[in-house]
Amino acid sequence: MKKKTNFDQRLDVALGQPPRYSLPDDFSDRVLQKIALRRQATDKRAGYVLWGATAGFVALATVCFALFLDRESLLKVLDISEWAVLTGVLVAVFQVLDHKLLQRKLPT
Amino acid sequence: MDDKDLVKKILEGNQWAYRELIQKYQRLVVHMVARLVENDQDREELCQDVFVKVYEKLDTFHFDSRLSTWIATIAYRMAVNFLKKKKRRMDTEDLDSVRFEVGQEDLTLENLDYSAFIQSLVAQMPLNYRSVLTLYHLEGFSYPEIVEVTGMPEGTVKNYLFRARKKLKELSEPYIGKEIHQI
Repeated sequence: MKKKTNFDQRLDVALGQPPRYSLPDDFSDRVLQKIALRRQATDKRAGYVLWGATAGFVALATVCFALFLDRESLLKVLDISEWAVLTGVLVAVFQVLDHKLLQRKLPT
Repeated sequence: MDDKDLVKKILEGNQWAYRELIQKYQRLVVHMVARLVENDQDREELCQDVFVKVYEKLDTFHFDSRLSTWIATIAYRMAVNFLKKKKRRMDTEDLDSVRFEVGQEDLTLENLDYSAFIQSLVAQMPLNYRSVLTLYHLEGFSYPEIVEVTGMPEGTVKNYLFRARKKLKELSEPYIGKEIHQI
C-alpha cells in the first residue's frame, strides 16, 4: 500500500474542511412551519377532492334513481351480481381516495 | 436516541423527535447543498425543502441503508434538480475543460490559506466531482454509499476522486510544492 505523502495529507485535511456556510439558529422552526403550511394546503386540496367526489357520487345516484324510478328497473339495480364490475370499480375508487386522502400520514 | 427510535417517534407524530433529526443531520445536508449551490438564500431554501421531503417520505424508509445515506440521496437529487432548473454549472461534466481561476496572483506560501484555496478550486469543479469529493472527504461515506447516493457506478466514483485529487495537486503544487520538497 502506498504511503501517503505530506502533500496528500494536507490535501485530505483541506478537503475535509466544511464549506463556510451555516444555517440560522431557528432553522428547525422554519422547517416545521413549512411542513405545517404544506399540510394545510394538502388538507384543503383533499377537502376539495372529497367534496367533489361526494357531489359526483350524489349526482350519479340521483341520475340512476331518476332513470330506474319504476319498480322493475329498481329491482334490477338491486340485483348487484349483474353490476359486479361497476361495483368493484367504485369500491376500488373509494379505497384509493380513502388511502390517498384520508388515511395518509400527514405532519402533525 | 438511535435512528430507529427517532423515526418511530416521528411517524407517531412527535415534533420534538423531528427537531432532533434535523439537528442530527443538518450538517450533512448543509455540506451537500452548500458545495453544490452557490447562493446563500437558495441554500437555505433548499435545505428546508430537503427536510420537508424527508418528513413526507419518512414512512417509505425501511432502514435498507443508513438514514444518513438516505437523507444524503434526497439532498443530492434535490440539489441536482434545482441546478438543472437554474441551468447553472451544468454545462460541462468534463474536468479537463474547466479553466480554473486560481485567484490571487501574489499567492505565496506565507499568505496561503491552503484549505480556503482548495475549497475555491473545488467550487469550480463540475457538479459530479464536487459531489463525490464532498461525500468521500467531508462525510466519510464509503464507495458503495456514494454509489447509492449519486447513482454513479463505483468505477466512475473512484475515477472522479482520483482525477479531482490529481487536478487539485497540479493546481496547488506551484504554491506549496517547494515546502513539500523541503520535507
